[in-house]
Amino acid sequence: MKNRIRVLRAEKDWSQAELAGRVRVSRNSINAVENGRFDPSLPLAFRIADAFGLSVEEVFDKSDVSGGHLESG
Amino acid sequence: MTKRVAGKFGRRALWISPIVIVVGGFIAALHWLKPQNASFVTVLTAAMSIFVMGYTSILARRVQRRLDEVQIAHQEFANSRGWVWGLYATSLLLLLPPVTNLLIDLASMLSTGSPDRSNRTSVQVALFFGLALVALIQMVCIIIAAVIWERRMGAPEQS
Repeated sequence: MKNRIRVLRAEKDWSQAELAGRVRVSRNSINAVENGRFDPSLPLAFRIADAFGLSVEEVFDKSDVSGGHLESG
Repeated sequence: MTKRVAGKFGRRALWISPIVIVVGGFIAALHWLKPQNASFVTVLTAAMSIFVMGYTSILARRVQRRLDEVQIAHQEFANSRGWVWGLYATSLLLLLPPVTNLLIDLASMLSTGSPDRSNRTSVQVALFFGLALVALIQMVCIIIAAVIWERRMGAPEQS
């Protein structure tokens, strides 16, 4: 699933580690979500959107829902 | 920072120490155990095995509690693939005569002192070797699956 995390991070001047700390996940996890390699659960998507003060739709592109996590496909 | 890292390692070492103490103690006591009553040794071995399995399960649960969803998915991916690949790999490996011959010879040597003679103990040792081989190869396959996941997820950015 495509998202704007990289752009939003750059706007806020946050590193992946900083965002990871704010949403309470590991930096590798943020990297996987940011690169669209892992589709986050709803709670994590909300936490990421909350960290940027935006709605989920403003962070994640719902037109590009691939249909599951990597491990299921 | 250094203090925090040292504290983290110290805590981990403390959590792992019961296994090291129990298994280390058991190995150190092997010479003393050899002439003891067979039932006593069996009960002690079973107790140690149950402790190690139970304690490692507690440790695994404790570690898993701190994982986020991507890490849990990573673990599930590695475990599900690793277990199956490990079983297939062990089955294929045991079809190779040099491997089976080596294991049989080793089991016979350890129990009777000769690769050509076998008894009840050698069968027990061979069963143990088989089990250990499955566990070992599954562990290797889990590590391979974990590396595959890491590569698919991509290297983390340094920013």
